[in-house]
Amino acid sequence: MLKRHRYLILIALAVSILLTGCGGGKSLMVDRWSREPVEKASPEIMELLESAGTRSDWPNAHTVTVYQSDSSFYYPDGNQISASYSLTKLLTMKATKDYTTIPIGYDTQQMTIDIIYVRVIYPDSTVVTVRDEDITDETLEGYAEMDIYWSNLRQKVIRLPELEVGCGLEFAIKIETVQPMLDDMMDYRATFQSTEPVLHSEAILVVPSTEEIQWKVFNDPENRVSFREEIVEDSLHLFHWEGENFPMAITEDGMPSLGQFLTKVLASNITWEDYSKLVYELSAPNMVADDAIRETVAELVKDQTTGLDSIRAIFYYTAQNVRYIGLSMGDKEGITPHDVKETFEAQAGVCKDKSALLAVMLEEAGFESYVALSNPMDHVHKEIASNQFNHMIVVVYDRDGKEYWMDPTDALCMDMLPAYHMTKASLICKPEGDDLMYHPVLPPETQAGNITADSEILPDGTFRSVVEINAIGFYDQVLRLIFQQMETVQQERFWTQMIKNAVHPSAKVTSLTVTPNPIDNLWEPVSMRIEYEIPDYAIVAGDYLLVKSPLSTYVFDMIGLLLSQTTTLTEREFPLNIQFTIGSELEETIKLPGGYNAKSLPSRIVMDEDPASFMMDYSLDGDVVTYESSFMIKMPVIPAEKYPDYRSAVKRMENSGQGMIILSKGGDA
Amino acid sequence: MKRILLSIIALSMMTSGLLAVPSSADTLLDEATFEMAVNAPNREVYPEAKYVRLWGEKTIELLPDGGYTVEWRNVTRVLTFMGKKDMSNIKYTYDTDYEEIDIYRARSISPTGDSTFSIVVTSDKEINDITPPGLAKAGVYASLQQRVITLPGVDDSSLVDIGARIRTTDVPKKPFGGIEYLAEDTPIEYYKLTIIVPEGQELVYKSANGAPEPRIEGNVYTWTIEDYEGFVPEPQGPRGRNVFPAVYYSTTRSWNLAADYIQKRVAPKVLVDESVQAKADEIVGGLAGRDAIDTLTYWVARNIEFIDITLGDAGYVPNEASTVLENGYGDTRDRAVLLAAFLKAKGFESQIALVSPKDVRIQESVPAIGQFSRLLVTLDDPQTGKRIWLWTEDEYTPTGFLPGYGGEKALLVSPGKGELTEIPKVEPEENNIDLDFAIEIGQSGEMSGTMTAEFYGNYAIDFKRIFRDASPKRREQRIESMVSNLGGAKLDGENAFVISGVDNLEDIPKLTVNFKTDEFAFIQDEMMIFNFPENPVDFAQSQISTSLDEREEALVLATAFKETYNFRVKLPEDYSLAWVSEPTSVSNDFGTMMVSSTRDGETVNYSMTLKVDNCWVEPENYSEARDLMRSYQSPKNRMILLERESADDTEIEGAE
Repeated sequence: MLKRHRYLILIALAVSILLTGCGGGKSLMVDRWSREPVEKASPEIMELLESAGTRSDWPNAHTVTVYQSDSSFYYPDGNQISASYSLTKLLTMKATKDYTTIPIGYDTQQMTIDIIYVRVIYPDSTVVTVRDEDITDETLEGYAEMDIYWSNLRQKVIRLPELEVGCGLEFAIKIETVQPMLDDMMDYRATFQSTEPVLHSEAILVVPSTEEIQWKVFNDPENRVSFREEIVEDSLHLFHWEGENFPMAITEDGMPSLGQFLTKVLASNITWEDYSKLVYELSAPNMVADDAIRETVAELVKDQTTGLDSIRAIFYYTAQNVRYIGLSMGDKEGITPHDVKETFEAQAGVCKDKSALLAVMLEEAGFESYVALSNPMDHVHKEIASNQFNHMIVVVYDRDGKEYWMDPTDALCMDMLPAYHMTKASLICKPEGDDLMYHPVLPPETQAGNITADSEILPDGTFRSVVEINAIGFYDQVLRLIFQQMETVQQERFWTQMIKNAVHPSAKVTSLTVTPNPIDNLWEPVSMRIEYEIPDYAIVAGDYLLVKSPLSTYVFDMIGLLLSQTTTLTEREFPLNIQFTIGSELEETIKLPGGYNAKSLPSRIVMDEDPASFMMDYSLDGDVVTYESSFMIKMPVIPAEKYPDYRSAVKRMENSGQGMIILSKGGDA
Repeated sequence: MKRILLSIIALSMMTSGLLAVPSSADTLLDEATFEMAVNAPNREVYPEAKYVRLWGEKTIELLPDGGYTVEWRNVTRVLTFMGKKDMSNIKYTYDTDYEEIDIYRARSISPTGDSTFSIVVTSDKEINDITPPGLAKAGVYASLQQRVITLPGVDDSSLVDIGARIRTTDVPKKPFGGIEYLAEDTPIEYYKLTIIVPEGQELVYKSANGAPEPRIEGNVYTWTIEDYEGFVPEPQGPRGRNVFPAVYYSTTRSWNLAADYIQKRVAPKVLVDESVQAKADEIVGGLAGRDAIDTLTYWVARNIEFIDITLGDAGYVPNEASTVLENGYGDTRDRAVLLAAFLKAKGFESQIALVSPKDVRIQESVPAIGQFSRLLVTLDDPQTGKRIWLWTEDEYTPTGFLPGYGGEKALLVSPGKGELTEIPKVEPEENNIDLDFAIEIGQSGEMSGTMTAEFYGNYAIDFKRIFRDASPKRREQRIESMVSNLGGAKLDGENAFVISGVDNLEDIPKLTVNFKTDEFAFIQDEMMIFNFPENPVDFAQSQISTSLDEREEALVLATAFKETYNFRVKLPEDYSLAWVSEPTSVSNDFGTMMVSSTRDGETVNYSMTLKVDNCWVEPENYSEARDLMRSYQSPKNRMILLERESADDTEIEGAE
């Protein structure tokens, strides 16, 4: 009884701290959690809004966050109560439009959400509070497109009344978890900075004083964030971070996830080893094979002659036969896989379900295997063992100990782990725990396309060509993805349009063959052969005849075609996130028509920079001109300081496409 | 989920019973379904199809009390990976306010051997309701839900068997009628649509796009389609109701009655109370006539948040004007009501009009208001007397300009009268981008210069949408991106670009950019090749597909347009002009393309124009569009060849 009494006091104390702040900040914040209707904003609030400035003070901003506070209290079992307050000033008409509707996503299985109030404060200090009927509860958007139909993923859609420039918006929201993602884990994060200026930001973490908390502030080169801590009543440990004048982050196309660069704090009460063990222990009971799984494994490996082939057979099965679908199946959807027997029976699941099944099937085939948490989109900070993951994959060890990684949500990856995992982190979930690791960068030559063309110009001026594309690594995967989306007629139309746009509008595809058939046969690399012709291809330019190597336009190079989209900015503040290394090698031979001599060929170009290399060359041998080029992206993430070198290589490559074979009349007709 | 492996000896009792699939337990195959499964065609029969509908029936019954029931069942054979994707999650939209949906059959039937099949029956947890994509913000208006039936057992040779029914639980929010597709682009072996109306009521209908005429027995109308081959949609072809075999139907007998239905629901809401009058006065100030109309329209466009929901999906009864004003948001109905009330407050009499989705043609013989998707306000210009159309769904469109609706029919609503009226076509010159380049080429192939661009019509709308509210840094990023399309050029100088004309709706947006690039013209030996840069304005690049030599469907473009590119190119010293693209022109009913080039001392003047007059090109006229566009895109029409003045006639030695 005493224990329970003390526990309740502890909660009350923590909530009191969360809702009143801890003595820091501004005095107006003391009553910020009151639901009492307000008709006029207090002078303090109005002064804060007034002093926050206008568009002329913040020319690139649409809003300015005057004050924001995030606080969380963790129960010993890992559950938490969080409270968020913010006061934001709208600076532009765009902001008044952007804020007319505010969605707040939440997971009914994991939390309850209480919108204490949303208020609009007009410049004359009048306050209008959003009515209950203007807050609707909807299915969270965007997940259905990913085939995830968890009915517990919801959003509160808050519709604000008419807004005007200079308005303040005041939000107070409380969220309480009903089950932690991982028992006993206290995993906290707060971000001080955003894409708009933040004048004052605080984060408060309250945990039982028995907990050991590791924390770190990231991306704070000017030390804007100050820290203090205290022990309250011998039972609670309070951590308080606070800072002022956080500049807005102006995003750039193609940058890595912005969150990686914002000023933030991460905190946790566990190590990576603990984390690894916790997920293993949570998953293990659901990772037990039954006879049906065993029979399938036996069938899959019975004709395989090597360990790697057995691994591939099982991987291809789970990647392609077990569909990616998210359905509500029970508690802890976040990280715990469903029972593999259910997943096998349904032949469906999301990443964690497919990974768990794959790991179990590999184990059944005699290979040591584990699921691993990962994040293929964002950087995971190694310093703090917090939940920074959004994906689950698998690692397996061949009988000779060789390690292979695989992502069973990708049904077209011959190499089993898509190249976009390069540099990204994974945490293998083992019974004894494991440390965080990062996937290595693979050379672009392992992810490349090889494109050759055998072409000739006929006496009547028709250009005729046979092109072959072969690919490995991620290039192979990209081609499969393109071909899989289109039926035969559409493929032919696609290539015809591509050649017409890039080479000549009169081009006509005469034959197209794609192997393997079906395209998802991952035992065989992808290959395409395309034949086309173009009447009157050569340009008669006065005394000269101009002929271009169609390959030099990069029309057949899926990667080359996309590169210009990565170089739209002259300079960058943030890195360019290509996500993988990749490359292409091109070679075309063109038999020239009789009666012409080569007047001029483009000169050789060689560039070799840290992020990318480019080579192009033309040569003449009798009446045959050979064009060769290669482009390799060597870094998955190109730092801002190396971006100009990368851009220069891309632009040189694109410009080289203007080169022509210039012929003059003469020689044998 | 129940998975049952059936081992059934093949039966060969294909009978007419197939056409009326008997009910059976989900986990068993009745004889007819078994026959379908055994004899289902494979990919060789339909090499270009994702799936084929083997059998389908749908019955729509209008009840005497105005309610209705809809019941359907489809058996579909998956043929490819994409077909599997499409058929794995089946979605039906319904309105929870007055409809109830019941999925009475959902299963996949997959072959496991000769005449053996695995049946996977969808369980409750595989049936979920979600908010339809794009409608999350519309929750205050509509109670639309999408029931998603997930079929985990589907593979790329499965049969998918779905049966469902909807019945009304309250008075429907819209009149009976609409468009039913008998088929889309995928093949169908058999499909039957039945519409039943109460005794004494007549169904007005039209079979369109090759749909068969119905069999009529009393009050029962039946359309049957068999052995429909499907087709692979051609790029930029007509879509949806303009091409698929469809039945338009309604029990409303005339457009007058249809208009009356709208009038009775909308007109009472166009009320001018104190708040509406005060706001209208405040907005208009001292303006009068067309200026007042434009100002009120723009105010609604800019200040009332647009909730994008198709007309009818939340019924046809809008909120009162004062409520819309208080809410600060509005769907197509509410916006029209508020604007009409504002106009009324300032003494302008306006009309409500209904328009269809863009690029969609109205079936005039069937007065079904379900054909329309938007509600507008229209009135006569007080100065000119000419009808003006007021579009409030974006804040960048000048009043009188209806983007994408030119040539389509609108339903003008007045008391007791409905009139289909053509919205005036947009002329290419109203939809124009004008680019002017003054360029200097250096001796090393570098290029510097100025681009000036003016935007009209849709181009102006897009330009304002992108730039008006963008911060200075965002504007710079966007302009950098455009300039980068000029061979990787960079902005040149401190004030490298000027944007004007984006703040006011009537202004013509203009962009001036100074740029330079170290490498543009390509030098090889004694020659220099200069290709005129293509339009760098990424949002204003016309895409007209000519990948097909012939077409079976019409070529459909969003609107008529015109693009003009003028270049003044100063040539580098020490180089002489060897050749420049020669003047050429093509002109036909589709449009006009024209290239001109002249030399003036060291400067080459070059211009290229593309004008498209006809944005619905029937297959028999496609060759005109094809030939014109091919000429427009031809590399020989976009080039300058220069030769160093000291060049001799040396040739490259080929290694023999």
